[in-house]
Amino acid sequence: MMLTGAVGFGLLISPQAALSLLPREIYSTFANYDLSTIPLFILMGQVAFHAGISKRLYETAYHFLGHIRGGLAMATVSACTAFGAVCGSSPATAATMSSVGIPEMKRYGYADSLAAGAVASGGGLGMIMPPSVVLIVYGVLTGQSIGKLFVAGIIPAVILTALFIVAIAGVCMRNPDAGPCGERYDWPARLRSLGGLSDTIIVFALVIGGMFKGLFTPTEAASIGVAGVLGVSVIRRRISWSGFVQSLQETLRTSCMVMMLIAGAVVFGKFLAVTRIPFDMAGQVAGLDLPGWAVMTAILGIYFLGGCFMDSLALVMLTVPVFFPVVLGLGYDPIWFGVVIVLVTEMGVITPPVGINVYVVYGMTRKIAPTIALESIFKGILPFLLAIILGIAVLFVLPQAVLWLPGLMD
Amino acid sequence: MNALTSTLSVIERAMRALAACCLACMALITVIDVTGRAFGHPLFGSEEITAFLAALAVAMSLPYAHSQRSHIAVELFYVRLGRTARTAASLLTGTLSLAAFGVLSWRMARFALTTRESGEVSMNLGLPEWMVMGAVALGCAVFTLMILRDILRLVTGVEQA
Amino acid sequence: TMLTYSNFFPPTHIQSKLAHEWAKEVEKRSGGEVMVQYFPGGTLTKARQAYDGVVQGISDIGMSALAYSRGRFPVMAAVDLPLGYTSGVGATSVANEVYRHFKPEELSDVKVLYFHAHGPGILFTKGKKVEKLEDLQGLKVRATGNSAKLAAALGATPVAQSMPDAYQSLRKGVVDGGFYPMETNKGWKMAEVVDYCTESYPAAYTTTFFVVMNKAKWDALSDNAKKVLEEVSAEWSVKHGEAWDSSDEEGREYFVEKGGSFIPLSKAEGKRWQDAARPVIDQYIEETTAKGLDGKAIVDFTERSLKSAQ
Ligand code: NA
Ligand code: NA
Repeated sequence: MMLTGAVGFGLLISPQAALSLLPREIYSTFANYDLSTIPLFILMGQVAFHAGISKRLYETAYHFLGHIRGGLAMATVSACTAFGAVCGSSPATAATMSSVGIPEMKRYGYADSLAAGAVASGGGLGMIMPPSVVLIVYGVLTGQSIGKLFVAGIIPAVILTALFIVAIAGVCMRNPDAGPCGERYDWPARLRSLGGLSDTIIVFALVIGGMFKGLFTPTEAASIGVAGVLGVSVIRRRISWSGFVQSLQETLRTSCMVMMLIAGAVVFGKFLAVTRIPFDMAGQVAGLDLPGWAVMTAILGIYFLGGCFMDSLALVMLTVPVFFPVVLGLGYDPIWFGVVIVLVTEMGVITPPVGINVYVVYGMTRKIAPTIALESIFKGILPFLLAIILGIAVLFVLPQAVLWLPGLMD
Repeated sequence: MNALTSTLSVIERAMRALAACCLACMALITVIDVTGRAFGHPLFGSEEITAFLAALAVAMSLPYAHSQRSHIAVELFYVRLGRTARTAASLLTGTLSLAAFGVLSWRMARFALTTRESGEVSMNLGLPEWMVMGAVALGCAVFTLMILRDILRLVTGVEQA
Repeated sequence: TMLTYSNFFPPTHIQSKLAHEWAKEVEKRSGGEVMVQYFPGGTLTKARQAYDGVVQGISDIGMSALAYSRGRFPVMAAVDLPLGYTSGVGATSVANEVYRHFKPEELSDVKVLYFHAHGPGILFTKGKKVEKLEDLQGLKVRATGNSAKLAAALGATPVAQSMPDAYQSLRKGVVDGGFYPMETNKGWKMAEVVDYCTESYPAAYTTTFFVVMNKAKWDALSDNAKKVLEEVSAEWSVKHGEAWDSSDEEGREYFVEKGGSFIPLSKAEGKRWQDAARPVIDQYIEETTAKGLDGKAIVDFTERSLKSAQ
């Protein structure tokens, strides 16, 4: 991808320019403060994993949901949404939740495609649930209130989580082996299992509480989370020095791969920009003489196609300025459009060929579950794609789902 | 060949240790900044330091990531090939990536040098950022050498793809 | 000839729209001899890479801020000092004057088309009223690069954050305020999260933006094309300055609409702020002199042209 991008750029502009572009783009991706939270959120997940926190979390979830088919996958996507309230980036959510969720789901005999599909798609919930990098960029580009955009994302994130749960139930109905039923626990056992949640609750309270009290920003929450998980684990003597070193190494390996992939996508995006394909496409749609809903569908179609090949942030940067006036002219609400765009671009992060979340999850699983093939992850996301499309349809029919909460802010 | 392999693995381990330190420091810096801020003494430029440490951590772990074969490459279609075809495909992709990362290391080093000459420093703390760029170039260079080692191994038949 | 133009301002920003109009005007007046492909929002090169990108030929023309390359433009950096700016038009005129007068070596690897500079950067706070210098002591204030030096000199504790982060930090009360131009209240929605504007104009700074062109591409142009570019650039630099002022006006209205209130400084208090900011300027002179330039002369000229401009 990086190579194609660089060669293409060289042909369109000049080889000299391409050779200069390469180190600059790669360096600025590596030394990007917002992206630097990715290794930290991965580290947080790794430390939690090595300290057994995730295991206890899943044991608890299993006590409650294990007897339902696909119950752990349902717990995973719910956990993704909860984690998304701390994390502004969708690959980072996918990375953290895959190191936590996949080993547990494998342990309980879940199918590769369901386990990996759930975390890759669930990562997208991290972008829709505020804070969200894409919504910040959208707000700045279009002059919309970032605060309102954030609040607007909450209900759609919850709706989508529910739809994901329905999708998982659907998968398990068609193929009961994908998410096998476990035994049913009685209520005393379930309540006892809640004790396993204490570490998580302490860390969660620290991170969420600190953010709401204004002690640190969402971007800084990654580091605080690492310190919190580590602190709790050390005090309770649940992590060894070698476990800590292992989590550092595992984090390095994975983040290195993730950052290389992002750098590749960035270089490819530059190539796409100089072909002017995104600009031309946007211009053409804006000129169509069709009813409003048809133009909107066409616009969303372009976002979906673009998302297949590009990083969602770059795509939003390229196209929102062209579509935004069109959308306003058709009478759609700007806040609503922002949330819908995030939903559509989150489809992009799980579709081939450039599905960052899928690659992230694949990279994470190399060590913890090396049997999972890239193909089966792409297969596993299908039901979730349908769920997102359904979610967008819901937002079309019921725009109040987006606009009700921000309306309360006035 | 053996000398190259053993030297590389020593370098790889040293760089990995450094990368791990950078990663740990990233979290530490923010914690210090946030704690300090609560008491009215934030650490100025902590975002900048964190971003540099992130670049260093990624660059220094490039060789380690390679030694763990974590690159996805074309694994999807690899599994469908026979042994000879697989070796040939490995050689081809190996040579391509050798060329690509060779060029990248060279350009990254030049980028570091031109930045140093321009007198440009980091925006908030005025740190010599070209050094971080140089470290990224170093990471890429070692990464390139490791690809070279793999190709030599394939050619000499020490290891099958 | 087809030229590529990279601008880090997002396409919806007035400064980006103006740059796009510049491109169209150049196409029109050159009778189609010069065509421009315009890339806004950092889609071709990001803010920090725009200058280097032009030198290296990644784009043929680029607009960005000099401040992103700290240390690289020692002479022009004088314009960004807290000299007490009062308008974007004034700051823009000073930037172009300083360039014309010194023709600094630091910009010799490109063809400079024009500069523009934003309106006065002043203090905004949330919750805490800053009426005199003492009120500012120890407050955590969002500021980067140049404005961070100013914040520190005035006794505040600078916190370097990106604008989206600053919005969040202010909303949650992680920081107490920020130094920025009035337009940012609307452009980055900062008015939603701040309450007070201390009219710290006597110590107001600015940020200089450049529009530069790849040298080889410039040399290859016909004489007529060069003339058109120079003409349009001269006209547009004024327009950019005016646009900064009208954005400031919109930012002011939005700030008032969101319930913000102003805290004027008395003449005597203003003088105290000006004096407190002086070490930033002295430090600049010292650093520039160490680089073998006449720092004192640069500052003197800049201050003189500021006085005649406003
Ligand atoms: Na989020
Ligand atoms: Na995709």
